[in-house]
Amino acid sequence: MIEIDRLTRRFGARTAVDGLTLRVAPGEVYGFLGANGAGKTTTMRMMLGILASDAGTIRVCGRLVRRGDRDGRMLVGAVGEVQHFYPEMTCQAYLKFFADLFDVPQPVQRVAEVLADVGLADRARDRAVDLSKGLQQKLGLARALLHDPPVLLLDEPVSGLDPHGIREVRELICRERDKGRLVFFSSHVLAEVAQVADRVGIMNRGRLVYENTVAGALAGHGTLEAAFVAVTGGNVRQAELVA
Amino acid sequence: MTPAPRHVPAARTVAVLARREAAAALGGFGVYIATTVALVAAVWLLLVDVRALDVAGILVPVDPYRAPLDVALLVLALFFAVSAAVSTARDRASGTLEVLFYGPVDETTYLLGKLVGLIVAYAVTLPLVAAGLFGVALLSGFALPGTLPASLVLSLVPAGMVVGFGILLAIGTSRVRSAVLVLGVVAFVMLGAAAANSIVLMVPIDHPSSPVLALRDALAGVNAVLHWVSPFAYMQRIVGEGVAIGAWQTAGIGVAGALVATCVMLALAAAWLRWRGVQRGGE
Repeated sequence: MIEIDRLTRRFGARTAVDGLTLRVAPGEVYGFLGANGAGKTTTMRMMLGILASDAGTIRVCGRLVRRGDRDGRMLVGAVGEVQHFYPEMTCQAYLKFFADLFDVPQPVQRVAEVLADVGLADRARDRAVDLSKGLQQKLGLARALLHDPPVLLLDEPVSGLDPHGIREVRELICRERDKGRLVFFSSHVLAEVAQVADRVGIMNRGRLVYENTVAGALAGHGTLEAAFVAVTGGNVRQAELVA
Repeated sequence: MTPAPRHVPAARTVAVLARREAAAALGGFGVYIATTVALVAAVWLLLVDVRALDVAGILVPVDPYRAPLDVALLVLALFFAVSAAVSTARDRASGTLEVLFYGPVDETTYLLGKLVGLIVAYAVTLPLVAAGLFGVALLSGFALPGTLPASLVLSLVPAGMVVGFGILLAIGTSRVRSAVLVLGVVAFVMLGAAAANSIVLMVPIDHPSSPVLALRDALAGVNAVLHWVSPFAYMQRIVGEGVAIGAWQTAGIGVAGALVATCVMLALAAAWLRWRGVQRGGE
């Protein structure tokens, strides 16, 4: 469960996140949408406890997220938009390093499992930096799954992927949802969000301006893109706007 | 899946980070080149001393390894200061710093992991230095001092301070090049002031109003401050002015000072990192 209550973050005079309130239930896939600079990544960084909020609270599985809370991060598996690796490490070594960091029991076996889960078993001995962007994205997902967290935070997980890669990530998200994991992800690929998410929230200039089930959004606007344009362009029925 | 988070002890996080840091440092050629340079510098200094003794007609040098050991350890310490700065700046520039913080890592465990890892790597080079000096002793006939093991072991403390210094300077930079440049300038000023002080002291004074006197006073003042601030000065104080001549009290004060200074630098680095954030380029 993710519970965000009146979350606010400012950078100087600019308010990046402005009084955000939302709830996401276990086993739910939540698409977090918004234009560049809308406050999605800032929100996700605060959810991870690597960025402090100026006001408001975040609870993950009932635990209040505080900046620097090491134990709290054990509840979350996170993948950023761009993957970053140590140049000397193979995929296997990279995951083993993080498995050790998360103190995963039987790390070698677990690394083999997650590599197989994301379809990288045959690339285990390749250097992570030599993989294509799509495969690097999968390796990032494997890292996020290592410690079996109840919540997955994915920032633009299909950004820059080819259609095969997008389909594989979609399947992986669905698989993790079916296991009862909460998946909270941001994306600009709205057609993809429509296929995977149960609910969507749209951020605009730091505020959550729209929240609905995907079915509801599609019923109201035809496509998520139409909903997005209507909401962020200010052309939306008042009843749909989030207070 | 359980909602209660598993606790990972901070010591384990530090150990995992330190193991990677040490492996990365020892896996490259740099550390072995630095060790070779340190030994070459030490042998060269020893040869200079021997030649001077020969010219002066003195047969018995008091402590032929004092200056060579100082220089060798200083070269190694400099290398590890650069390694610390490069590694810290690279973590931020490459984005791996933020990814680490997706896990059970905070500012303190991250910095301690880096510090411990590089101290371990430094410790691994010490037997190489000892072996090199042993070879020099065999070839030159100058016996190694009995304090050599103590000098090498206690040098771990100022080496840690030097590494902490490199980390602290690199926390404020976003690029590897900037980190190396900042460290280079600061190290040059610190080492340069000490060297200039030694040179000026050798300049003869012709009359009481000589400008050299004023320069001497200025450099002496700067060095008095650096004596307590510069991590490189601690290396010399603990090894050269302490253990090597049996001045254990001097060495002890130096060790205590270096430990306190390392803790202060790490605390400053942690506060600075917390303020800047962990993302590429900083907040």
